[in-house]
Amino acid sequence: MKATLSVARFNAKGKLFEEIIQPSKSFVRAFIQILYVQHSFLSTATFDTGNTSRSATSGQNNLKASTPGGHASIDADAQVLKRGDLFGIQVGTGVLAPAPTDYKLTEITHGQAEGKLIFAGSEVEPPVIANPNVTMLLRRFFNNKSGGVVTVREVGLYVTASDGIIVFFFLVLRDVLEIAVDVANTELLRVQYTLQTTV
Amino acid sequence: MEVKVESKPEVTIVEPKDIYLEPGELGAILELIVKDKDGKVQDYRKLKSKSFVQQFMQLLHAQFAEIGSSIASTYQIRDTSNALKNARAYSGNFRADAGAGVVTHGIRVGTGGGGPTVADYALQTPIAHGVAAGNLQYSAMTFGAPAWDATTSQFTLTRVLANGSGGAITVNEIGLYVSGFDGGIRYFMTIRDVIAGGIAVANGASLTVNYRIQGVV
Repeated sequence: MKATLSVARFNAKGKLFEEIIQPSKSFVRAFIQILYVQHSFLSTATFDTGNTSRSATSGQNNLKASTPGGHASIDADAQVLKRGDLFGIQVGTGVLAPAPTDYKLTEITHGQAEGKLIFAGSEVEPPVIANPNVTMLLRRFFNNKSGGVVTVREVGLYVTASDGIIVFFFLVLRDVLEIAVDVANTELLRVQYTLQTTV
Repeated sequence: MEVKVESKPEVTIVEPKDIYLEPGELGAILELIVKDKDGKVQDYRKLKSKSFVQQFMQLLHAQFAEIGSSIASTYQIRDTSNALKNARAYSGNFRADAGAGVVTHGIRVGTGGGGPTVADYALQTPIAHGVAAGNLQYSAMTFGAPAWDATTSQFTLTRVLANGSGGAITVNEIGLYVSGFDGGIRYFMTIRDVIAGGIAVANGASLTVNYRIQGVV
């Protein structure tokens, strides 16, 4: 399975200014670890986005990547913190090359203060099958209401996994942009990951 | 002046060229080891698995989108019996920890040689568990815990198949069956590989199948 990353910048009226497309470089170790617990039904120590070791185990909530918008909180399941900005597609300012042991981005967080972006919901489209390929698109929009330029240098994907009691967040994909993207005030940023398997 | 050039006959074992995934790739390395009744290696193959078939991405989608029962019918997945199922997010999705003799899930082998194609939902001709003619005895699945180095993270799924059938068996296809859920447990194939020329397992010998799932930075 490979992934392609697209980062596109739009004005407030939806006009496309630029789009950067590059191969995604990194499925980091937490992705392998969560796939391991799902396949084996065993637990393994896995570092969450807070760099805390969690005993990840199989769970219905594991690998959840679709979220509501930032700071939206759907409390249908008291076990799961569903604040929408804490998982799904993420953006950041870090520039170090990806490594398997990466556990988080240098995050740009949700909000309207300087250096922040408004997080829309993180979407997951159903797989599209076109022999010999199967593709699945993940997408998130970010809106700059900070009053200034916000420069995005890295993107990634946080998903959920459980220790059997509580759900935590784990980095599974991380990429450093070949060209940083300056998102001006009032502009929109669209980040898309396209996952693809080929027989 | 007389000059003699002589060659010295020499027999060496040439190790298979090592197989790697590319940076940015998540896939599987397939290892096949045939041992005789004394444990001596008779055949060794190492190849890059060709195929996550469509059920892999469909189950991944069920988890990524946390598909619930109310909408699962929109995203049906074909199970190993060729029936479409309303599979949804579930703690046991991708579960492959089959016990000895259990062939509903875990690593499976077969004699079929067609494909693989993205729409494959089961092995073409699965080999059953047992000691009857044409059967192999499936051990319990085992798992190598995740490990990683500077570029690669991986874990391993392993199954040993012993031939007590009385005759040689040629394995042509390998697959991974996992569980899913639509209100009941269902089984889905996520990987299928075809071995060019097959790999022979003599009577009394065993075949060890390792699928090493890797992510490379």
